[in-house]
Amino acid sequence: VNETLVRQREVTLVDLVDRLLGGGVVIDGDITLAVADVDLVTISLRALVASVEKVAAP
Amino acid sequence: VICLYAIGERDDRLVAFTRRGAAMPPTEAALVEHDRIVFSLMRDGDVLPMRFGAVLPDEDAVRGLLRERSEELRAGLERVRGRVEIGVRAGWEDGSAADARPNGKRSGAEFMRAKLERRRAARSRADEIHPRLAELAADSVLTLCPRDDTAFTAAYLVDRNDIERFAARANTVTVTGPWPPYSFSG
Repeated sequence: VNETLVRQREVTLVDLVDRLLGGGVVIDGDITLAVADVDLVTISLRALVASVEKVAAP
Repeated sequence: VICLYAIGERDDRLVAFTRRGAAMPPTEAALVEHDRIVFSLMRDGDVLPMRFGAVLPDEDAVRGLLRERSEELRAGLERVRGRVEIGVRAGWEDGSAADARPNGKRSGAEFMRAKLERRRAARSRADEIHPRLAELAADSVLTLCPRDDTAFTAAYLVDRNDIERFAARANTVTVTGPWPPYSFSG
């Protein structure tokens, strides 16, 4: 882990869509959000997530 | 419901990074925000990103997921350990035949010929660039002709220590990242 991990910014929406909607760990199809029905629209950034919880396996 | 962002490890235990609240539709802002969160998690340790939109009804379901798929998730984490994803996008070479925009009406045969030509051009562009980059990566995914303006896109799983070296070698294409290993977590 290094702290100097810095992002390069020439990211397009397509880069994001390819990765976030096409990659990642998938859980059962019927409980994931149906993304096919929703248009990708640009909206202004909303309030940010205050914190991310952590749930550990017992 | 509980939205899932990523799976990681803390003190050798599998953990899920989640947020309580309704699932968001995949707007640009929501995708940017999701990625920002997963990226910040990756600063503190290796994670397997979840696909955007993964939700479970409650904490028990999240624990169930960690238990039931622990073997697979641990193997996934092992694969990405100490590594990040770097994205590459290559346009067409100047003057390349494949760069020509489709114009006017074309017959089906012409369309197919043009498509084949683009594919050939993309393959030769990828052959030029991709192997030298894949050499520096533990794994890679190559996609030819993903869109009209793009010869190929590729994702590389690269050691955190090799990011600079990789970027220096990828000087003829557009480089994005580092990303959480989205393309190597499925």
